[in-house]
Amino acid sequence: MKPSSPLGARFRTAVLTLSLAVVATLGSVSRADVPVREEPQRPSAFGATEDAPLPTVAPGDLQGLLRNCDAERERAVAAQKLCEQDKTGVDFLGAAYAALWIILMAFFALVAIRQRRLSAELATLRERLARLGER
Amino acid sequence: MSASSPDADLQPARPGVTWMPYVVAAALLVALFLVFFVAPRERTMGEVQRIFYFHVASAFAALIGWVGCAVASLAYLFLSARQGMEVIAKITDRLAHALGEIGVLFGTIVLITGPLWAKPVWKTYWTWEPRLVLMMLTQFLFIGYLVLRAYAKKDVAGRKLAAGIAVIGGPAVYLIHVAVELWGGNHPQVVSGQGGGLQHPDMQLTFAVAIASVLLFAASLVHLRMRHHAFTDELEDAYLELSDREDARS
Repeated sequence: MKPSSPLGARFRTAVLTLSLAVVATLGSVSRADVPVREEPQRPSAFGATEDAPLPTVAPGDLQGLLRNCDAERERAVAAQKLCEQDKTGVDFLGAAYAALWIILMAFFALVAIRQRRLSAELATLRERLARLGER
Repeated sequence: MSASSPDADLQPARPGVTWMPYVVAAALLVALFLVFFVAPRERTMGEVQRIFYFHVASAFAALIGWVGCAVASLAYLFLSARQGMEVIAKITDRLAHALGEIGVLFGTIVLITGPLWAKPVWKTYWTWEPRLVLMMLTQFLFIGYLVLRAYAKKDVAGRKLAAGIAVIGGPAVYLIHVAVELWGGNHPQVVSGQGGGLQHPDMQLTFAVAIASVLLFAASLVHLRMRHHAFTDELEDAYLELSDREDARS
């Protein structure tokens, strides 16, 4: 029987591992309870929380005063809602930036380990070269 | 690696441009300063929207890395079949490998920061919308490319097989880009150029600086990884040469 090449065996192992990872992911998702979501936000623009100044009201314009009063109340409600959102939002913001730096640090650690391994291989190579020269 | 003196050229891979890390670090610090101290709070999402600047910049880096990897792999497949093009083919292969690694690195960042942004805004970490699914599958595809490329080492057939997988990943990047327009989804269409966008000038400035700094960072990482792969190749060649000489002596 013809022995399989090392690449063939490794390739099959890699493909099998990846396939299992994909199947496991899809399997876990199909079993998971899909949470009931609120109406999704799909903004087409990101704006700042700067409020435009309210229109000036002429003395005796009661309707104008009421309109400004309503506008101020709406702004206060929106600001309150945003503050509520920020209570959890700030934690997720911190987690996202922490994750970003952890991933980058892990990558640099991996590169440093590989670099050290290469340097060790270089030392071995030099040693073998020296021995070859002595003969 | 010269045949006469295998020891002479071998030096551990060093960063080619010594000032590069300082420039990249400064650019990233400026971008972070702008994100947290200059960009205003977003009016509907609040503070959590600040994830956007590095999330989208990382997505740009990942997609550019994957497209670059696919193009360089295609060039490698084309050039490796031609006489006298071996050196350029080797360089394109190393470039593809480095770009694939950086694409996966930034793809990981996107797939982790994205759910952390989605949870407070969409009330769920993950939705099975086409853009997210395609992004995850493309990430799996390029992880497969890297695994195969790592196992192949000097084996030309293995390298070509890996390059073929990377070429398949190229069109997937285009589909990720147009997924929301074609099939819908919850993703904001802020960077689509169809109206809207970032309405505050400080937001626009922060986004531009974040994109520039992350792309500069990604480019410096590609450069670093290419040098590393070149050195690894030279070391493997030197080992083969040395083994031949030892066999000849004994």
